[in-house]
Amino acid sequence: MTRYINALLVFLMVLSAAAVYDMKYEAEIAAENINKKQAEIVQAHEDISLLKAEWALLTRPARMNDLLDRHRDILNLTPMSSDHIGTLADIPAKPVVPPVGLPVEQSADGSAVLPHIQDDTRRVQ
Amino acid sequence: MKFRFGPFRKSAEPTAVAAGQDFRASARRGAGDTMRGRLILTSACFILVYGSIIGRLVQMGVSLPQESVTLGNAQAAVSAARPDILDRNGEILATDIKFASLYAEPRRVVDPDEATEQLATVFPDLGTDTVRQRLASKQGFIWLKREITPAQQAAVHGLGIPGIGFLTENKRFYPSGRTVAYITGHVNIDNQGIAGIEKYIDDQWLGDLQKAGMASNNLEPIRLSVDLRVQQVLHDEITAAMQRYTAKSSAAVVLNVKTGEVLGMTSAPDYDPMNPAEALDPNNMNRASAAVYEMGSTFKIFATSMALDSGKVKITDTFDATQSLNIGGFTIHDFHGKHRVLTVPEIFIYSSNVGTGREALRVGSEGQQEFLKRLGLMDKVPTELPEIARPILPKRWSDLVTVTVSFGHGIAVSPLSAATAASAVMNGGILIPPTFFPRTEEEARLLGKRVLKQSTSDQMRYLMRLNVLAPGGSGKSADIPGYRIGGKTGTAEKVVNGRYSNDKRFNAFIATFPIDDPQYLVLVVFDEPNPERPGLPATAGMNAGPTAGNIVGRIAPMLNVEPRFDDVDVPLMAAY
Repeated sequence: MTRYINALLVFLMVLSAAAVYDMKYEAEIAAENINKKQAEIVQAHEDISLLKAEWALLTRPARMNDLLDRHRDILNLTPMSSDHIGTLADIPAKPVVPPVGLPVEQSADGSAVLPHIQDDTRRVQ
Repeated sequence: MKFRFGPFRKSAEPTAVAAGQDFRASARRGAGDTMRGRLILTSACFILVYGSIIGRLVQMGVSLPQESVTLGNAQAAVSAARPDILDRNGEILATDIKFASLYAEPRRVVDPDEATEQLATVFPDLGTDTVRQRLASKQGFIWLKREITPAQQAAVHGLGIPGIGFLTENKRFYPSGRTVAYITGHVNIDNQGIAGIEKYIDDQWLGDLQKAGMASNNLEPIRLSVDLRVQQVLHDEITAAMQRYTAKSSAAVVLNVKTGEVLGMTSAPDYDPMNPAEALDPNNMNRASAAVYEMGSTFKIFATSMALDSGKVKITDTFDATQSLNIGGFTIHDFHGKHRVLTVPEIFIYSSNVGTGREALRVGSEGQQEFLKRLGLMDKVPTELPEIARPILPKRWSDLVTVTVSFGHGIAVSPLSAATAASAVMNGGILIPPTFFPRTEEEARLLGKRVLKQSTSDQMRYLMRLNVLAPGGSGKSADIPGYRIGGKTGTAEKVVNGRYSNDKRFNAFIATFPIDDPQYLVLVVFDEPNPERPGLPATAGMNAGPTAGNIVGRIAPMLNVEPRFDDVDVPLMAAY
């Protein structure tokens, strides 16, 4: 009886030793992965700040100005002046679009085609 | 064996005798004794061996190898990180960029000869005997090459030389370079701020933090009140205008009159903050805040507001400007003489020296000094930038000085100082110290102190607008339809060899907009401008005025100032 118990204990001991070894090994791998990921994060942060700096360099107003001057013929942009700015009040009201399929009135000589507009303009405005 | 176990036997014998046991028993005990002695010896041996192993392990674990100590110091020294500097919209004005640097730990270098030869394949200049000797030395740490490219780093890494490694170093980078140089300032080779806001943040907290070794790489970025787009417009216009008018130098400042925030400040000729050597050239100094000038007729803003605020002069009063003003043995002339009696608004818009002088005389020298002191024109501007010049004041305040100071001669202030005082005149009479960091109107209200009556400020706004609108007004050239600019020119004669020169001028223009509720103030100055074409005058109305107008026309849409074409100030004019 004692012999079996002993054998069992020895077996358990070997098993637990193997388990401990395995755990330790896994922990080492995990620690290594953490280090690797942390290094990657640091590298990514550095890359981000470098890219931000590059973006700032490429979009600096002085450079945009030069690019505008160089490609003036394609872009066709002019500096904004005060008369380019308006308010909502300056925009005319949206014209009323007649619903599709309404009878179309023709002028007397048939040259122009006028859509028939119902008298609900006041409500829209 | 017996001999070696002597002590144990000796101690065992008396017990045996005392017990009085027979021979056999004592013989058996003797054998057990030997056994026990051996056990103790063996365990002692094991304890000794394992004890020393544990001891050594602890020792190795506790003490760091010396090489890594020196390496740690080097890493701490080179990574003096600085926070990013952003403009008010979050655009990067200054940032840190990491560069790899090559170092060696000679103690770990196995074969210095081979290492030198291999390094020479990437860096031919490292193949010298000096490098070989340094690698063969017993030093803990040496720099081989600073700031290498990623390609070079990969090549050296590929060589796989033991004892050679890389450290990342921070280097300051200014994406907008010259455009914001006078605000950001710059750093030295060790990444310490030596000018501008860089120096300010070092003096305030960063220097102490770095000394304590706590400046990590994750410092909060610093946001300034400066708008990079406004700054670009200023830089662009000033640089272009300087060439157009072949001026010696020029500068411009844009202030938010309600908060005291500096939205832009530049000076030309400028320098590249990535090349700090350029900053040492005295020609490249910051003329907007670190230089003082006799501001000329722009000072009439202060003289007129002083006269109106004192209550001794009303806006409806008239002053005799038929003749030149003789005082203290000197004669004061008018540049655009009208030779008649002028009202206060006329004195302002025709920029009459005689009229302004008479207004100042009525207030008196004492009142003038007190007023200028109140507006902060007699002290250094209280702001964050380190490069701030002290004004140059007259030594004695005679009546003559009172008259000349009233039109901006005999007193020299920095353009930033003049802009700050003019903001107080325009914003309703509150003097707010200028700042380079964001500030809200509430904070400004707490900081500001009233220096003028509201009514004086209102009258001054009217005069400034009148100066742009009225026929013959000196600020006409700065008018941009829709933005309701109010402005005042200043053409000062420069002192050459102790005398005021006729052809060397210092021109200035102060513009504020929109005049019905001023939000921003633009000050443009030119040092010794020339006429655009021969035959034209080189007065401020011909150069500083149009430049200020251009600047307002370009920055107003950026600053969300809505253009309006109904002339809001006409009723105000009709009131007088």
